[in-house]
Amino acid sequence: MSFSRFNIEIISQQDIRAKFEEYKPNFSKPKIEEIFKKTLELCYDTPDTNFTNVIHLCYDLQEERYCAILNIGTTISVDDIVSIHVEFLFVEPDYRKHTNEQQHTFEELGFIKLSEYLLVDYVVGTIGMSSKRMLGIGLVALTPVNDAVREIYTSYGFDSIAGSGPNEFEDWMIFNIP
Amino acid sequence: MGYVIRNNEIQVARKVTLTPELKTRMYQPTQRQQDMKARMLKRKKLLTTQIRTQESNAIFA
Repeated sequence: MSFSRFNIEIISQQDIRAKFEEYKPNFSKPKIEEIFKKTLELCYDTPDTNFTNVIHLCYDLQEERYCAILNIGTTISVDDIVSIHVEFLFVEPDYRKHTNEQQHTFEELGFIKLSEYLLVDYVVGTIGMSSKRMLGIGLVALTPVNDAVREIYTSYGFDSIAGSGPNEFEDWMIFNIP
Repeated sequence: MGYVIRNNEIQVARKVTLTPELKTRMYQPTQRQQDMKARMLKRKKLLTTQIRTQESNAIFA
């Protein structure tokens, strides 16, 4: 999928190690890097989940570099029904920086942030709407990494299901694909 | 599986069962979700049109 500037590639399991030799994500926080390593473990080393986790990389055709990682899979963690699961989302720091207190948005995406494009336009709009039509999977689920991110995802339309986690920090957020 | 960071620790999000009330809410798109979908479709249409226009201009340039 490409909106003139950004291209999203689905990385096959056999290519993924080579791909991350070529692209070294700039993780600004050590914990994010740890989470990324765990998400790769899910893709490679966990037999019961590796077939439902797929790494997607977003490539900036203008700057000629990768700028975001998505790990999208499925889960039955929410109410024992299959949902599309955004296991991991990472946007390179210089693609999410705030300048003059303005949100970092892209004209090529219709003046939205890259994370909104990836979650709403790509996951919900492209993958989700097809999955709902063809497979009947109607939910996109995720667990935000912290409360600041939860606030951002709320602005994208994701709804926190209060009490759905063992504690409030682990509450699931869902987007019911309309 | 999902992960959260709390107290500098990575925690695994655990499986949950929803109450009947939450189930009802979960399967109804919120107004916000419907609005986001409408905005997304509008964006998609606009951007597709722009790409087509650029392609046409390139052909006739």
